[in-house]
Order: sequence, then structure tokens, then C-alpha cells
Amino acid sequence: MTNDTPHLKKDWVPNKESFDSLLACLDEDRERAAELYVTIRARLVKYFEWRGCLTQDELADETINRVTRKISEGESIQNLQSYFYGVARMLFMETLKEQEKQRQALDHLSLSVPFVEERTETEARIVCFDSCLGSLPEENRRLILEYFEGQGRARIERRKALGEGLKVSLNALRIIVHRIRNELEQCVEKCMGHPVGEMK
Amino acid sequence: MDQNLDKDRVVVRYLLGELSDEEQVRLEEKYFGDDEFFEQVLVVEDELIDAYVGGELSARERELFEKRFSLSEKHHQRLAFARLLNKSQTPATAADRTGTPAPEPVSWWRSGFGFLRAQNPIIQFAPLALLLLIALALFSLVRWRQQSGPSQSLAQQQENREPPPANVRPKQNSQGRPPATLLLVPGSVRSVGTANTLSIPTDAEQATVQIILEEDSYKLYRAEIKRVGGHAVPLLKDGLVESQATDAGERALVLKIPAQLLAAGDYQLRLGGVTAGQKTETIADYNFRVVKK
Repeated sequence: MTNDTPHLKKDWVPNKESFDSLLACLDEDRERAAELYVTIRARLVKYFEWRGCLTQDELADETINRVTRKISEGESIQNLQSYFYGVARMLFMETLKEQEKQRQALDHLSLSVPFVEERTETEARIVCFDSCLGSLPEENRRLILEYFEGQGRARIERRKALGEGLKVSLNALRIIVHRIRNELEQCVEKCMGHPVGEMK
Repeated sequence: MDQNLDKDRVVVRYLLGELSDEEQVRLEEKYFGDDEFFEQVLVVEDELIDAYVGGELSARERELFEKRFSLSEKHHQRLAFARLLNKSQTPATAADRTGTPAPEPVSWWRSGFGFLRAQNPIIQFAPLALLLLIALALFSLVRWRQQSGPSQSLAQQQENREPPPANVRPKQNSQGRPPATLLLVPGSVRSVGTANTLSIPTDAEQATVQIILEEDSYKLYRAEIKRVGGHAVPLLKDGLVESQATDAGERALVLKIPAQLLAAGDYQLRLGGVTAGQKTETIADYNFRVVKK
């Protein structure tokens, strides 16, 4: 994937001191700062993904590098999260043309993806899915299976009943299920040998 | 609730790339600074994926979704996961929208879950008791065969076999190699009774089988791994693999297998070379044992 990344001006790389200054800016408590770092990175990855970028991880890292550089150069930043977003947006605009070229190239290539690979992946995924489902706590496993049971109207009604049974609103139920699903999905991708990103 | 619905609709439009630039920026600024809202966007994204795999999107939404997401490998994985999740309780929907027959969806977890919801405790536990009895009987049979017939052991079977072709012969795991790696190299004639053991730590995510080639005569190779007396282990890319150079300058094939796909037991690996006419010529068969520790 690295080869597909749009050309970025990487004339600066963070060192330990600059990274420490970034963490210090995030929070006085280093552990909390590390947590915030992970959260921000995950959010940047999703931002680039939702904007249709194919190299979201690399773009997220480049955003962090640029912000780190500004901090180590002494720039005073009031709202760090908002600043991260601003830099990410600039970077997105910067690489927009190259991203589009990549998409067109990949669009062409994707026509030749062999079916056999997909079939084998599916078989492996089923084994992983079952194994990961089995590793969930009983309560969570029951909940997610119930949540996805049925179709159409019956599914909607089931979900309402589930929420009532748990004494939570439907929206709260959606969030609870999202968290279980996220855990399950990460387990499956890990089992499949795919890189797993945080989704905070 | 209505407010939630409105918000969700805006998020769906964002994810499909339908918002104006100004609206996008507003929404992005919000989720960058608001943890709860960010999670809400993630929830809506899940549901959009579910709606896509469930065929619930309009033609236009479907088109936008595919335009936005179809090229990313990550999204292919997410769609595959969503298909499984959405079929996890519905055997009736086993055939997906493309008409491809769905793989066997009723696993022991899913069917077992149905049993556990039964109201009658006798019905509830009868299948479990039956399974335990079968497991006990199988265990006794295996023990009996081990004690009464040592000639049935894998080691003995393998010693009686014809030696594999000279170009690729199995060798014992070299010391110092990372765990969960099985190395098969040419030029050594050994008893494979204990040599071809793939030890997989219980917390390992992946196992590796590396086959060193004496002659690299094919552009593409195909590996098939089967559990003795059981099913084939699904391999990525259908077991098709290209040779690559090792640090020592040899040519080797490397198979990466998710550790969870290899239960403890005996396996056979068949290695073939793919000809220009797309046929597979068998090169060698290997036996190995997987041990979980």
C-alpha cells in the first residue's frame, strides 16, 4: 500500500523530544495523553477513509507529523483537536488530485481480482467468525445474535423488544451492539491475519 | 428519537458523499471534537454497510456507496464481515444478492444458540449430553488405538513412506526460529516422526510454513493442506504462492495461515507447481503435526 500513497513532502520526521512535546500538549498525564493520541489517530484514519482516501493510515500519520512539527517549533495551539482536523483537511486537499488518479488506476485493476481468492477468504472468514463469536462473553454473544436475527419488520420489532428487555433506548442499544460488533470484527480480522486499526 | 433520525440521515448523506462542502466541514468539525457524536457516526456507518449487504439501499444510494467504498481493501473486509453477521441467524437468506451460494452458515455456535433458547430443560440439555457421550466414545477409541497399535502412529506411517522427491524434503524446525513456524527444506533425510511438528502457542495469531526449494522451476506453486481424515484448511489465495528469496539467497515458498484455522492434529501438505497451461503438477506430499501449547 505504501507504493500507492500520494507523494508527500516528508522533509521532517519526529524525534523523541518532538513526540514528547506532542504528548505533553495532549495531556499532562502521560497515560491519558497516550490514550488521546490513539483516539485522535483513529479519528484521523476514519476522516481520510470517509473522504474516500485509499491510504488513510499514512495520511493520518503525516497529519500527526505535521502537527508535531508545529508544536516542536513552538507554535501555540488553543484547540488541539480542531487543529488536527484543520491540518488533515489541508493534507486532504493537497493530495486530492493524486488520490483521484489512484482511484482510477485501482478501479481498472480491481476488474481482474480473481474470484477464487474471494471464495477462499470467505471460507477462512467463516471459521474465524465462529471462533471469535465463541470467544465473546456469553451475554454479548447472545445480544449480538439476537440483534441480527430476522429480517425487515421482524428484525426491527425484535430490536425494540431487546431494548425494552434491557431497559435501554434503541439508540443506546445500537451503541452497545456497535461496540460488541467492533470487538468481534477486530477479532475476525486479526484471525485472518489482516492489520487491525483502533476504532475509537 | 426524531432528532436522532435526522442526525442519522445527515450522517448517511455524509458517508455517501452527498453533503455540500460546507456541511461536510461542519459535521467533521463536530465529530473531531465530540466523542459521542463520533461514535454515532460509526454506528450509522455500520448500519449503512448492513443496509448495503441486505439490499436495502436505493439504486442511487447503492451507486454512491460503491463509488465511495468499493476500492478499499478494508471495506471489502468490512462488507464480508457484515454479510456473515447479517446471515448469522438467518439460514433462509443464505444465498447472497449476487446469487453466489453462501457458505454453510449454520455453525455449532449459531445452531447451538437456538438449542439453548429452548424452554424445556430436558430438550435444552439433551443435545449437549449426546455430544459429550460421542466425545467420550471417540476419546476412548483413540486411546485404545494408541495403546494397542503403535504401528498406527504418524511417525511409523511416515517412516514407511517413500522418501519425498529430492528437490524438497522436510526438515526439523531449526532452533531459534520464531514459534509457530514449520520449515521444510531439501537435502535432508530424516525421520519425520517428531521433526515435522508445528508448535503453535495458544496466543499466536498466525502460523507460517516455509518450504525451501532446491529448484525453482515454476512461476507459481499451489499448496493444499488437509487435516488427516478431515477437511481442507482454507488458504489465502487458494494456496497459490510465488517463490521468494530468503536471507540466505535460497528460493522459498511461505504460507501464512491464521493460527485459529489449525487445530491440534495431523495434517498433510501437498505441494504442486502450476504449469503454463494452468495445470498443477504434484511435487511432494508432507505430513506434519500441529501441537498447541
